[in-house]
Amino acid sequence: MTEKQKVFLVAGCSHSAGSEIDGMDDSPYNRSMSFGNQLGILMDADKIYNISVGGSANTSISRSIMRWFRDNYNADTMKVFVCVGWTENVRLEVPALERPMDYYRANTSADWYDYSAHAFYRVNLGWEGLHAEEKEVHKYFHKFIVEQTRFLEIMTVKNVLELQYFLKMNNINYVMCNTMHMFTLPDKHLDIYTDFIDKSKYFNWDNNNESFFWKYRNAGYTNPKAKYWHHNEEPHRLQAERLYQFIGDKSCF
Amino acid sequence: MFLKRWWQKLKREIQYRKRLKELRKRDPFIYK
Repeated sequence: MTEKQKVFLVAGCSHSAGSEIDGMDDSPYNRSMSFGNQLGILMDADKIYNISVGGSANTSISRSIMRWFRDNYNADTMKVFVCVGWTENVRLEVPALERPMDYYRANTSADWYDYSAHAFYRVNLGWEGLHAEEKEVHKYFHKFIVEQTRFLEIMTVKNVLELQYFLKMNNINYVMCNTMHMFTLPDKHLDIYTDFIDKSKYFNWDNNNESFFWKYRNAGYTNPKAKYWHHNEEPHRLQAERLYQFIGDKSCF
Repeated sequence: MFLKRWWQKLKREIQYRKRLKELRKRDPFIYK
């Protein structure tokens, strides 16, 4: 019997894509130096897929992983380990009814791309939208986001749970981490759900100061090449090492 | 009555702007 290929799958937002490490939004170099890819190398993966997409919401991160498995996974030939970098919980995906979107052009170095994202407007608070419907949607949901942050966090914890259950159901090993603010704790409504999280596979799940971006930002790391404050090689290397230590002897693949 | 309603509306708008600013600071990454 031939040995299964060790496949390492990295999914997340721009932080997991290594955006702006070399100053560019996306490039093969950025992806190769991202914390996820560096972790894949530490774990001796045969093949690394970085499917992270800049600007993603947590809904699309979870969905892209499930769709990657649907389209690529072969249990007879592969052993997959997944590294998930959750993003800010104030980002939303809202169905785009008038026209499809195109986020691929800003993510051309992705090793696999989930086109289902094009069916949604990506609503984040820094963008007002371009076209009439998009502008209307953004305006409506900006208000919703600002006034319903607790509701968004409950949606977010459900994203985590759906993905953990999906991976567990398929007998896939993984590690999760936060790249930005995730949960505002303590919170009596979140507590209803957080009991169900498998914390042994979720690095610093409840500590926003330990999230990838803010930890190294607050520690004074800067990337002179970046326009949007994304980190360069060093914080990515440190994050990969921290995740590697966290995984420890829990069977990698 | 009119003044009270106007003041409450203004207060809500100020709170909204303040919270929006805080959240934008938390997620400064803008993608077009």
